[in-house]
Amino acid sequence: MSEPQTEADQARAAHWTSQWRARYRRGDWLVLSGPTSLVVMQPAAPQWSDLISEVWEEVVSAASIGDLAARLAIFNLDRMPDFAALFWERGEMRSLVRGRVSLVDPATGRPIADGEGIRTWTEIGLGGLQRVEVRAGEQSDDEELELPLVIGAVGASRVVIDCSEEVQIHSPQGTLVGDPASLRLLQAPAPEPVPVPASEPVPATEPVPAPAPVPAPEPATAPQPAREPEPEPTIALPVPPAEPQPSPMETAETLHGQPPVPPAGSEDEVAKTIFATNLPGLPVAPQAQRPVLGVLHPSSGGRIEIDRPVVIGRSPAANRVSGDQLPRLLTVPSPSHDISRTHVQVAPINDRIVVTDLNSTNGTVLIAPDGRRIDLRPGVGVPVDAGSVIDLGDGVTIAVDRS
Amino acid sequence: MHLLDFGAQTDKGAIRALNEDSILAVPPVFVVADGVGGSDGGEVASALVVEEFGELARRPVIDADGVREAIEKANTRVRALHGDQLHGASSTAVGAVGVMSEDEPYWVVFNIGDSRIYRLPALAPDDEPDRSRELVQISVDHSHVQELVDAGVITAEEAETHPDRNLVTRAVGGEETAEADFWMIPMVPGDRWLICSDGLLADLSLEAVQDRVRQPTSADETARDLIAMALRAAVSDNVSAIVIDVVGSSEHSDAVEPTTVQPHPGK
Repeated sequence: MSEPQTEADQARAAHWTSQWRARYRRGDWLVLSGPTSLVVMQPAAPQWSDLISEVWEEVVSAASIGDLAARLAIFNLDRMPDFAALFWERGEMRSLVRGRVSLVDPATGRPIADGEGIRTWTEIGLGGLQRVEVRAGEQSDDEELELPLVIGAVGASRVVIDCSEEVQIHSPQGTLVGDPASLRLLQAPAPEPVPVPASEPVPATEPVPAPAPVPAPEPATAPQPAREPEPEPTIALPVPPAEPQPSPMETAETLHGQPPVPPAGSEDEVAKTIFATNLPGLPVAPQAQRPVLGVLHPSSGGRIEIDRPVVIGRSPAANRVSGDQLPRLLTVPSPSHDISRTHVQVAPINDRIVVTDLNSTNGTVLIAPDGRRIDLRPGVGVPVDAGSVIDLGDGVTIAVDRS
Repeated sequence: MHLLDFGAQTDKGAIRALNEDSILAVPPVFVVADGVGGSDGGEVASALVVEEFGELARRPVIDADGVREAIEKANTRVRALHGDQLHGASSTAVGAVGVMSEDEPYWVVFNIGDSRIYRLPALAPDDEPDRSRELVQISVDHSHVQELVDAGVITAEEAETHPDRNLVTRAVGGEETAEADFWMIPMVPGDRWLICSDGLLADLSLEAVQDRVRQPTSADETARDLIAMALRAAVSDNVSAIVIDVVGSSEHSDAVEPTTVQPHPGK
């Protein structure tokens, strides 16, 4: 794509809707779908409607599979035993699979990734694969109605995703969903980034608009089968249950209100210790170099580098984090206790500085560089730029500055 | 950094020939490591864990990264022990290391495996003076039964007698990278901490342990007594206990408020 943008290209970019086309078979599993992301979750009870809606907003706002996993971790979905996520990123599909969800090549029926027996989240780049079938839970061989899906949430047992060029959906009705700047990162590799007009994003969270860092252009024109190492491990993913259950699960109150079907498979030898399978999954990034994305200057004094999560409050604590997410803890004064003990977090996530109100009692206000005041929604991370100020109340503000 | 008073004891128990537990108490570093792996040198694995933390204790600056690195180094060394064996010896590791974070003293609490760390928080200034202090479990077991409890398959009570209760899902030396959990908790004068291997709670009820830990005896006497109680209950496993008291420091104001960290709802 080295010629200048044709009008057709520009028209397509302006109404770019989806990087893939999906067809699904109805079923009980939840499939949340966005233009370049798809998440498969266990069935949910009716009282989770609002929560699912919020999760879906995160799914369509994520800029990368790592970002998606980080956003879902806020909802503790990283602990869900059966789960899959697919993401179209830099010209190829990336996937995370766990539990009773499997990926199959629809042309051959060959399994590509099976969550069964996978105890850690394994990120699998799907390379040049253009079509993939996601199977969740029990599969029937009966003929079933198959319906198209682009953006939305459905109950399904199976989804086939096709990202070949010819099936991409370009609709004049299309609107850009999510952060328009980060959508630029999602284009297939090209020598120059495709300009994307700044149309109003469908309001999901309200990110402070900021120029996203444009990645160095990829030299190859074909999707890269090899994965590049992540700049730093930003995802804390605990290890799920180590073995298949020996007996059917009782109808206890699981999060989603339905007893999961026990996976088929023979019981392993009972050894004294059982360890998760070590798969070639998420690369372990070297800890030596942590990039410093910015600096915090609290009104109460001090200077804190943002090279890892910074948790701020009148008596902050870190609660069950992984070794690569060990935070800096910043104590600020709050004699009237208006500021919560653990109030707000500032963290480097995927090269952005992300501020998250940690369900504080009195909330957190973000003051954008242009002076706009934004109330942060609890638990939802918002990327910010240097020049922003975080207001915790009680006269305590924290300036976010360049390093 | 506050003044720390402590007691640390370990015993091989009534039945076992060998003590595969190793413990370390060199303020501000406190660790209990329980060797796993039967005949394969669990005691060597736990000793390696303690050795790495001993190295940490000697450093001029001790920080959260240092704790994480000690675990990683121990993991590498334990894995080197068993070469290509699929399931060689490994060890749990649980403990607390005192560090400074932006001028405030904190505990870096870590856990990998099914040994435990508990906190007995100091009473808050506005608490009733005769209110009983409660032992709060901070660590989350990395065990098969814990995962069953979390999934709602069995209850915590059922977990105590479950036939698979000895199955550990994470340990030092188990994987290429050791996935420990970490907490950072403000160091509060008046707090008492208990670090123990699973042998302590195998034959003693949590209530009995809580009652003893609440007693205003010294940390050393408390630790000795906990081991004695376990031995009287004919504990078949190795048993270890470290008790730490955070004594107030004259440099810090006494108006430090107790903090709450989400306790694990296990028991």
